[in-house]
Amino acid sequence: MRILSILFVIFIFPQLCLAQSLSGDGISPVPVLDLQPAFPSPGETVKVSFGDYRAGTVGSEINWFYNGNLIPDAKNKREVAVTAPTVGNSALIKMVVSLNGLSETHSTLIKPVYLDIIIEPQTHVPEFYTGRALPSIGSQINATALLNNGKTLGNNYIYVWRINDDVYDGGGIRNQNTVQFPMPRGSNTTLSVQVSTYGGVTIARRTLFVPSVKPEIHYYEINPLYGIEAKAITSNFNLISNSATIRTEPYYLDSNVFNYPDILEWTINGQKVSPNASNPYEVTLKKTGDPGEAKLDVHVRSLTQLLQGAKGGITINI
Amino acid sequence: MKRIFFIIGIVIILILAGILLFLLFANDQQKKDVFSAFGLDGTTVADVSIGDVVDAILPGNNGKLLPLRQLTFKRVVGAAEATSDASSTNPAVYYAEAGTGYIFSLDVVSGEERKISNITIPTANQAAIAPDGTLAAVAANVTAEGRDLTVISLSKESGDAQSNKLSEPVKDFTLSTDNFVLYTTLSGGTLAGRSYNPATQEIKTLFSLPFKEATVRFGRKSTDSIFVYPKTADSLEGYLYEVNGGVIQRLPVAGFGLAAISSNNYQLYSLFTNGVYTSYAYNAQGKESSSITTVIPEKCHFLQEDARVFCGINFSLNKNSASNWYKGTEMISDDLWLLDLTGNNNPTLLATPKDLVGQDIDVLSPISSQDGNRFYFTNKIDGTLWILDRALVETQ
Repeated sequence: MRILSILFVIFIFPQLCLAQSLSGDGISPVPVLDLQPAFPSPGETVKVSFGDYRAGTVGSEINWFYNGNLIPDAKNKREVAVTAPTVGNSALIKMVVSLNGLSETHSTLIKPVYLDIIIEPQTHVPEFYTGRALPSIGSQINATALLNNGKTLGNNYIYVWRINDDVYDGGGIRNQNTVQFPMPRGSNTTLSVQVSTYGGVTIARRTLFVPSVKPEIHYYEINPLYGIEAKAITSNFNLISNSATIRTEPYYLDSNVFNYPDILEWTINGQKVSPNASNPYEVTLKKTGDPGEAKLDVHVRSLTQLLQGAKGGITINI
Repeated sequence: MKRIFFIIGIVIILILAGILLFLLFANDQQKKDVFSAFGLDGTTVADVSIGDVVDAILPGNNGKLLPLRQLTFKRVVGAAEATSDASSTNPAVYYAEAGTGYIFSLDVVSGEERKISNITIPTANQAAIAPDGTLAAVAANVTAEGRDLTVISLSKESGDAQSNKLSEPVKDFTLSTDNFVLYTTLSGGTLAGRSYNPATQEIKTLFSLPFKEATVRFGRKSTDSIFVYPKTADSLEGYLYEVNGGVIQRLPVAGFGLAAISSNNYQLYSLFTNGVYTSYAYNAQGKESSSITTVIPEKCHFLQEDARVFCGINFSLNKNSASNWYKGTEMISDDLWLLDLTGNNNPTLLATPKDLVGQDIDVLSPISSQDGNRFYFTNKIDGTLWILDRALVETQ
């Protein structure tokens, strides 16, 4: 009798369990199809896995379907990689689990939308620079979330923004697809946004890293006729004519600090010199003495945010 | 006897000296001809009245035009090959002078140059000229809000130019082939794209973007699609959008350092792929991208037929080159190439400036003639205007 009981436990009981679980026993967790990433972009590769924690489906036959078409090479696999459809389209992923004549079907719909986060750091770059400003620690950042499913979807959603681990404004905010925040300390900041309908259905989620850079100083000659020269003075400047105007451009310095610096100091060979009255970021050099070299330096900084500052210098050959 | 040898020796020395002088003189002449340019830099041109012939182009190498030649000593902020005067069958390029905004017409074969707009626009730093030569737009006075844009109606016959300044500062702008001024301007916290019809003075809003730091690539015609992306940044993601009829559609093009130029059927874009600066062609019909020779998109120009691109290319770019080039801390010495984005033809090397003219050319603002036979560009190193004549390349 004991032997029969052991055989029952080993061979018969699992089959009963499987039969029960395939029909749903109401106790085991409901199996689901997990998507990774959970909210894919159009055309992105998506891993679909069978999140089933019941023992009874072990060894069962599995078939996967993409919009009704059998996915080749995916037979009996518990995870499959598919490509999210193009923008404006959807894909139904279906899996069929079969064992001993019993079967169950699970499905999930992939309806991708683009969720872009556009970062606009409020730091200084010169007007001729065609690139975007980069954030430096303490500078203001504007971030805008754009949903697009073939056309821009507007902002009639609930947005939950997170900056590192902090939820912006304490929770989801209706219609707020734009946030402003100061760049936290550290080389990278994690920014994420989750977008839901007013009914609470999440439709997209996106996370990105925002790197911070140090402000950097570059020098340019000002031509009285043409304005600022496109070619920067990288190390040496030859003062050929009797005078020349030099402008410094502190790239990535917080715009407020650029406009109202606590320190903005020009020196020639360590001696303070006055900048031009019309623009404190410019000095006019005049040839007065004998030929030789001079070191031109500039220092710009905020005294309340010490990391908001930069120093740099060039050699003037007279 | 000794006397005879002495006289023969003197004669030989004189002959050798003559040959030496000839060679030196001839070489000097050749060197000058490389710069088939007219007028002197800056101020001397201002003395010339409208319609006067400023100078005449010198023939190139021993009477032949060089395929690659410098057209101006002046700094140029915008150019277009326009319909030439009825009296000449030669192609003519119209260009705007930096700092003054004066517009000149230059016959690229004979070298005859005329000033066709005497309207002074101090600190002019960018210009667009319509291909039919009737319209120019010149930007100046840079502020955080944008630049003042002056629209100039040109008259080839009378040289009597009329100007009109737009009422709002502009960011990006161009002139379409159907003679609209297409531009962007900051408007209520957004970036708006507008069209201005100089004939009717009518301004229309084409689109409005929910962000400001955008690069906008207008189409050739005012009705063409417009392509937009956040300004390029190595460490920030960019996304490419197409604007058509006011609807903004996201294209499957995104990445760090994204920069792009566009035509109706293709987008040429560069971005960082696994840390490497890489270029791609996106085919709007097939909706897929394919890898191409690495370029900085701003150094390229689509030809009329849409799939071919003229580019200044340097194969030694490092990962910071594009960013440094935008800042002006790195100048790039380019070779001149023609790329076929269909993938049916290999890239064609058109010219190596270092070999042809012995100097570095850092290609900026390239354009082409309508038939795609001539390319014009400014050399970022000194702002001068250059031409590459494909017909002459092929006959060399």
